[in-house]
Amino acid sequence: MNELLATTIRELAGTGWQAFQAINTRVPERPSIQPGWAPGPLLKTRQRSKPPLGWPRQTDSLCPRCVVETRTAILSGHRDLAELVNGHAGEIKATILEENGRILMRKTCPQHGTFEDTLSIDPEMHRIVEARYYGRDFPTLGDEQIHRHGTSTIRYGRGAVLTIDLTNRCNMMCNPCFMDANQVGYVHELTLDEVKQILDDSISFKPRRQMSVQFSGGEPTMSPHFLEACRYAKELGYYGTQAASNGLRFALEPEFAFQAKEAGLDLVYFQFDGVTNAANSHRHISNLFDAKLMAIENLAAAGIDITPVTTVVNTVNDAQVGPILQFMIDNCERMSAVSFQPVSFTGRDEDISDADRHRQRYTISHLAHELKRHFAGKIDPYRDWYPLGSLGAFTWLADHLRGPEVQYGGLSCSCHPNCGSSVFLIANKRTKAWAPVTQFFNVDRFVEDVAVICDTARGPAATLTQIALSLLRNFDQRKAPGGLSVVDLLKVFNKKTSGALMAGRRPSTDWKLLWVGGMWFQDLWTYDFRRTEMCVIPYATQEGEISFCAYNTGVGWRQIVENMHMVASTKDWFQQRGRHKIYAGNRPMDLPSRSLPVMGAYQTAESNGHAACGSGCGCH
Amino acid sequence: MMHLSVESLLFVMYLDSLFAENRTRQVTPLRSVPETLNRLHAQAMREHSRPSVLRFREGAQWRDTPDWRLDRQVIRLGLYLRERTGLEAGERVAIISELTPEWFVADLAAMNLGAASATLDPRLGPDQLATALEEIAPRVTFVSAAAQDTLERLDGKAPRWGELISLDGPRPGTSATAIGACLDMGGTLDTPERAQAFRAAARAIGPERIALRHYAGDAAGWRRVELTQGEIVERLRASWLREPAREGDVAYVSDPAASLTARLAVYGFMGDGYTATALARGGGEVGDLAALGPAKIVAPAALFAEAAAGSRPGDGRGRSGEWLRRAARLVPTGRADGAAAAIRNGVGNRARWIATTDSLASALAGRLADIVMVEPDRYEPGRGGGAV
Repeated sequence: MNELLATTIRELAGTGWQAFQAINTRVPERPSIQPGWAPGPLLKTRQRSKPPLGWPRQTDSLCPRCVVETRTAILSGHRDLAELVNGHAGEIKATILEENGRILMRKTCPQHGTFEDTLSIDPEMHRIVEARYYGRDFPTLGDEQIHRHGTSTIRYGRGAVLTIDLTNRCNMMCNPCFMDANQVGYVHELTLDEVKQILDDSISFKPRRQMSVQFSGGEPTMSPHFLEACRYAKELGYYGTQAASNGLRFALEPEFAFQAKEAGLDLVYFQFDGVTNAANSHRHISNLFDAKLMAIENLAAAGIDITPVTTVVNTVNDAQVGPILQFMIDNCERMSAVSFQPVSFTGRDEDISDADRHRQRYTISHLAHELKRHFAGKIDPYRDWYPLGSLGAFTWLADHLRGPEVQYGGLSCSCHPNCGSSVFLIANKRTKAWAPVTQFFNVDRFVEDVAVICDTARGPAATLTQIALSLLRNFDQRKAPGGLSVVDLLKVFNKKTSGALMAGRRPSTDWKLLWVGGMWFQDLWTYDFRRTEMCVIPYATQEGEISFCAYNTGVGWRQIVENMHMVASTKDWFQQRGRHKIYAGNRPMDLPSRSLPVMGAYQTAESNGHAACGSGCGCH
Repeated sequence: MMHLSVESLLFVMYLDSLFAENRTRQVTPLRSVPETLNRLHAQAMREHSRPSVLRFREGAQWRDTPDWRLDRQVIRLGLYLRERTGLEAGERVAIISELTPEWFVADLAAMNLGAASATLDPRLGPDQLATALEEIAPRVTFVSAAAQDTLERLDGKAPRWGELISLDGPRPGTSATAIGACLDMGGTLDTPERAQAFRAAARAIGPERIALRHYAGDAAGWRRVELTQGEIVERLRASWLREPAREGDVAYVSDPAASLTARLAVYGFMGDGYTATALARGGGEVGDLAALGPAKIVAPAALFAEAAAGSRPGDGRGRSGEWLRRAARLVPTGRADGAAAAIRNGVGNRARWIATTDSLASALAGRLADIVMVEPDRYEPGRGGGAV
């Protein structure tokens, strides 16, 4: 589109917006609607609560030593589980402060002394991200039987992803591993009836959630009920189904990918630690990257979306984050997102030494700066990173537009701003040209506009007019990547909405939205109860829904729930039901011989020693 | 429209990363017909275009078995049979049951392992069952609940029936293992390595391997039919040439005797990649035909006679709307047209191919042939086999 025309449209939209608001803000607000799924009327901006932010501030945390002692005592029967629910086992106060250019958490246990760890290496980025937080979702109501975990109880929100561990069995022996799979000495595996009960319970209270269900483990595809569980979740009406998988099953058995798609699997949250076999060697399979490529081929052929998930450990695979993002962009026709997860020292890593912990600690600020470095400043830590919770603005707008009759609220990712941040990119599937959306779209102002739109709560026509004006005034054609116009953006959204924006027509477009996320799970050294009570990715278990971090770290609800509901010792299981293969010992997997036409370039590059960077920087 | 669109747009901006695009897998069933039934089964499980491969009635509800579930159950039962009963290629399995989803899983699992699967009419008396089992000498016998009662009456004449697996769930006081328990165990055994090894072994079974045995009694005596993997596919190919499958086809199979005709038809429907097979279960067949409107029907002749006799033009619950039926009544029709319409209504209004599992009276056959293709190649016991 002509640049002058685009600028004119933007300026006119800006003027139109100002003119509209000159009247709109002088007319009294209309009351918010109360949809059936919500516990009350939709919240105005001023009604949304926020956790304490900024620093220095005090919060509730855990003593890394007391917690382990308490958990051990409960598991051995020397202390009662009720102490966890009714008491404050292992809890101590912690201070979040800035010191020597870092944000730290410092806490002192009267018995075990002082503990300190890094939350951020960039206080300014930390401040900006916290400032962009949009506010909490509704407090939960009628969930007493689901959320009943003492100080670890989830108190806010609809959640975004419901995680269900189908089994603790796994076909790998990774380090790190949240659950210490294969090593705990027992098997915890849900029956299909239990899975169904959990899924039923999850939508039994208000706000009624529209979540994406993520089946996890262990390796969820090892559960005999994996496919049926996907099917049931879809039948109930959950928005999507995911599997947090190492992908080996999909690599070894292409048919399984097709069957999973038919059963209802939408997305694989795909363990992916680097773009070479060497970068994956800490997973103890010498040709793991080859297996990953094969899994990607099979999943893409089946039509299953792929989100690579990288657990980033400083000094282990931190140099891979740039190449991994480049890999995702290069394969954006089959991937929509990449999720970087700074290491959480839990499960198998809970006994880590202080020296190793400080050396391996990685935060979202590390990630932001590494991506800035790798892409020569194209991704900016201050302009482009938003807390996951900032996206709540879009949910509130959608809820407002959908009216009072809908049965489910929109999926709301209103977690604590310290839990995760993300960058949205737009990429061209053909040319691979890309840019952060915030490079050409003023998200800060758009979110402010949304607040005005939702708070004034006008009728559909006025609301849609405001949205259109806001979209146009915040889009800057001059800063967009070459070839991207408003029309292209419209086509991107039109395709995603099955042609609804263009009267059923679906003109093709080469552009696609990509999400780059950083999700930082807590461990005993960084634990903050203000975060767990706002968790949007709860674990759903036989003992109710538990915050992700309270389950995997914290007082260790995982060990407690699994011990309460184990089905056999590992030894008995293997004796009675047969062994499964575990790939470990730094040996190669025996992979089916297949040509990998699309991924072949990466394999060739790697064999030639050209894939270690992957940035196109010319260093090789 | 616009209201929804903008809402979706905003939602997508937020959630793009979390949810998959709805990519539709393009499939072309039956691109080629492989040499063996096992390979045909594998191909159909991989490439098909239908929401379910099997349908069966539970009370008033029709339940679906999609292809992925059937395939997984076949693999799991096959792994159980191989690893827990020691079943090997060349051995035999007996199945004493009507044609049910469980029968089909057991039948395919046995054939994929290279065993010959012998399905026996569950209504056979103890003596006939004993004779058949003696001759089959199965490694494993699957039984329906009714057949299990008959088996238990064999007492002193107990033939060799190997491990007994109940198709209808656990029954206290018997030695039979419930098929649910076998599938549960097989589910744990179902790893990618074992599943692929199972598939590879099934593919390696040659066309000359005996896959199917059938026993039936008639006026000529008690006869046995054997068909190899290759012979089964050849017969299916001939049938497909006469009446190719179409997208959206539903087949209805009703045969309490578990005849060879019905068995082969079910293989063919599974293998064509398009057809969903509804298996009748215990009465209500005429109502089933009206409810399902099947394109293909396999049933005893008596069902067609009953359906034709009980129907009038315009009675059916076919796909045409009520207004269309009312309009049809206003148009005068000849007597012959009326009879044809009655038959068409009786079989659900959409039938274009039928096969009978027993002899069809010539008058009815003629009337049926006027409106649908009547499968000429009924697989009668006696062909391809010998007297027992």
